[in-house]
Parts: sequence; structure tokens; C-alpha cells
Amino acid sequence: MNKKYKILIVEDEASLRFVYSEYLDMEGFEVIQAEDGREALDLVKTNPDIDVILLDLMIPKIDGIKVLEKIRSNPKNKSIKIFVMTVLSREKVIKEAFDLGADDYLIKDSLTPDQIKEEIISLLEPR
Amino acid sequence: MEATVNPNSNQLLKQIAKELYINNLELNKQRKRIQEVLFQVAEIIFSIDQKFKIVVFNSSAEIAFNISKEKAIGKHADEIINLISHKNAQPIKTNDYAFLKKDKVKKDFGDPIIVKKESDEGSYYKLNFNNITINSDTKECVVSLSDITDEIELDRKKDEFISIASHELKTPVTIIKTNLWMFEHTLKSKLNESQIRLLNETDEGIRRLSKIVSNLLDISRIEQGRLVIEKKETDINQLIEEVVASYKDLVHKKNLKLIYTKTRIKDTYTDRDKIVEILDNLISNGIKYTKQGHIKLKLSTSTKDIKISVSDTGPGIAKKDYPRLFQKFGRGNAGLKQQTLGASTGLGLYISKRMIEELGGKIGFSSELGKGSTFWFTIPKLYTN
Repeated sequence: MNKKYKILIVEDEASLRFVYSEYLDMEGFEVIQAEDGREALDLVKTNPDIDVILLDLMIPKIDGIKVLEKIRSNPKNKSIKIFVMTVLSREKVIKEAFDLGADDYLIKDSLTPDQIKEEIISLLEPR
Repeated sequence: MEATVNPNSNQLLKQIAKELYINNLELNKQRKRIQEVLFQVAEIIFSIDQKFKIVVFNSSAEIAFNISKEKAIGKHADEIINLISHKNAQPIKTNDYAFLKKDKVKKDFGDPIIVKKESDEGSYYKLNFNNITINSDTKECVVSLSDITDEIELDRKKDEFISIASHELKTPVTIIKTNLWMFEHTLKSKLNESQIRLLNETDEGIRRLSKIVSNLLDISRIEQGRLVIEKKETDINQLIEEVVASYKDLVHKKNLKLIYTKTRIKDTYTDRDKIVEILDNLISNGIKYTKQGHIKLKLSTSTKDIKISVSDTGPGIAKKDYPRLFQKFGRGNAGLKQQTLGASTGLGLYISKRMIEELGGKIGFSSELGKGSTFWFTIPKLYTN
């Protein structure tokens, strides 16, 4: 990872948001955070240089699926890589997220922060 | 010539007639009693002959199917009794069960056989049938339907509770796990041996808790029929290697060997996540029960199937435990005791079995006391959609 990537972490659980941010910051990412859907959409608007978004699907105000739909509906955001995050696997919602343009999904419960980072890097820098 | 009547034989005839009369009275009384019992019980009871014509129809049946017994008797049972199988939501006709072997019927329609009336979707009944021989050329099938709506409703509420509870548990479990990982990641070099041990044990504890929550969620999905199967092209070989790699630390800690020799096969069409979970269950069982030696994975193929087996050098399984191995909470009372000592929920094999059945495969095992066990499962070879 040579380039410093800008990542938006959208997560309503303060503790998880903190750990993901801390770790990815340590690993050289430029991190910005949102705790609900509305804040996430505002940040996407004001930060056109975002490379990747970690988007929790169960978030207040505007839920993750809606946020994803809104982001993808603007062609300017086409190059942003979006990971949707859930605590559960195999939910129908993951399929829905893919249909709406998510690039990949992360099951928070089964991945440690370093594994999450690996997933991000392998999507941003395919070998 | 005049007929002569022996006064003695006349006496005898009278005696016999009297006894017959008394016997008949007694028989009638008994018949009436049995009839009353049969007709007044809450259970729906009817009986059919070999042409599936109704010969007995009790009061509960009259109410349930809204027809008097006078009208019902003599009619073909399927004209009056319209049932739907709870298991596959298909109609269950009289010739689907009457005069057949019970095992076969249970295989098709579940055990117990649970049905609904076509006209009343709200009530559930347990269907029982008995094939009886009246005499050498008369056979009948007696059918009873017991209302189990309350039990089903209770079961549904239980599943719903488990589902909500485990959803709610997942987030705090994830928080603890992630924070703990961060602690370990940032502090490990500064900790002493006993602090590292504490951290490792906490980690192991939370890993187990997380597994239990996942198992409970799987169970509630399975029981509610919400298990989603998502098949896609899967490299089984690579998948096994990934799962094996994830056990590296645990196997090392327990001083065991986990062996898998690569076998090249074509990609197959299956549900990757389910296969990972089944493998996880079998491998972690192997590791749990094996004190020394190895756990060996093998992949083989036949014309139709791919077979994956997991062998261990553990204590083996006692014959008496065979029947309940794949049942829910299969380890019974002994299982609960083991659970507190550090095993899992006793749900892993049950979940694996249900999943593999959904994928169109089979699961089984062989075992020898003192030598070890081999658990295997098959999945169909599917190369196209």
C-alpha cells in the first residue's frame, strides 16, 4: 500500500467505530467517520476524494441500504469502493446490497480488523 | 312315529340360551362403552377399509369435517378428509399413508406427521395411523388426528425468541471480540506471560460464546424454514485449504496435526458458506475430542458425488450414543456436563445434517472405540446451473 487511501467508516456502534478507525489510521489510511446514514451522505458530498466506504447496514436515521442506493445513484461516486457490513451472514440483505452496487460485504463478527484491512486492500489493489 | 324329547336335553338348551342371552347383553354393553369412548374423545378418529371407504367416524371428526357420520360412512375418505402436510405444504391423501409402512410415510411427511386441514389453516394436527387386521380378509386403517396447535404456537414463539435474542447478542459479542483483538494487537509485546494467558483465555471464551450464538441462530433459521441456500461456483479444494489454515493456531496449541493432502477436482456448484460451516463443525469436533494424534481430511469423488471426510484419532463413539448423534442437543445429559467443561452446544452435528440435506447430500460416520472416528459428507457434483 503506497498510496494513502481515504476511507469513510459508517458505523453506529461507537466502540466498533473507534476500533476500526484507530486500527486503519495506524495502518496508514486517512479515516473519516459517520455514525448514521444522514451524516454518511453529507460526508460523501463534501469529500469527493473518498476511495472506500465501510458501510454498516443497520444504522439510524437513513438505513444502510438506502445510503448505498443514494451514493450509487450519483455517477460521480462511481469509483468509490463500497463494503457493506453486517453482524450476520447469509442475509437476503447482502444480495440486495450487491444488486444495488456494493463491491463486497464484511461479516463483522467473523473478521478481525486486520482481516478487514486485507479485504479492503485486495479490492483496492487487485493482484 | 312320535318324537321323543329327552327332558334333560331340553333343560340344557334352556340353559345355553340363557347364557347366550347374558353374554350378548354383556357384549352389547361393552360395545356401547367402547363406542361411547371412541365417539366422545377429543381426538378426531376415523377408520377406512381397503377401498379407502370410511367405516368409522367419531363425533370430533363430524365437527372437524362438518359432516354427520351417517353421511360420511361409506364415502371415499378423500372426499371428506382434506389434509395438507406441514412439512412440504402438499396435500396428503389417504393413499399416501393408509396401509403403508410407517417408516416410509414418516420419511416423506416427517416424524411426527403434522397436518393442517385444507379448510382451516390455523390449526395443526398430529396424524397417527394404525393398520389393523379384523379377520383374514378384512383390513382397516384407523386414523387419529390430535390437535397440537398450542404446541406448534409455543414452538414458534420459542424460535422467535431465540432468533431475537441471538441477533441482539451478536453486536456486543462482536464489540468484545474486536476490542480484545485490538488490545492484543497493540499491547502484546508489553504484557507478561500470565497477562497473555488471561488474554488468550478471554479470547477463547468469547470465541465459544460467539459460536453458540451462531448455532442458536442457525437452529432458529432451520426450524423456521428460513435457511437460505445460495449456490455458486466453488473451488472445494481451495475452500478446504482455507478452513484448515484457520485452525493452524488451535491445532498447534493442542499439539495435534491437521492433515490435508490436496486433491484436484473441478469447481462445483454449491453453497460455500454452508460447506465452511459443516467443515468447521466436523474439524472442531475432531480437535475437541482428540488428545493426541491427528485429524485428517480427505476429498474423493464418485460419478455423482464429492465426498469429504474428517478422521480423528480420538476416543471413538460408544454404540449406545449412535442414535442420538445427529439429534438436536445430541449429547443429552452427558453433553450438558461437557458443555460446562468447555465443549460446544451439541447442535453442530444436527445443524450440519440439516444443512447437508438442504444441499442435496448425505452425512454419516464410522467409529471404533479407542481408535477414532470418521465423519463424512457428500455433496452432488454440479457443474452448471
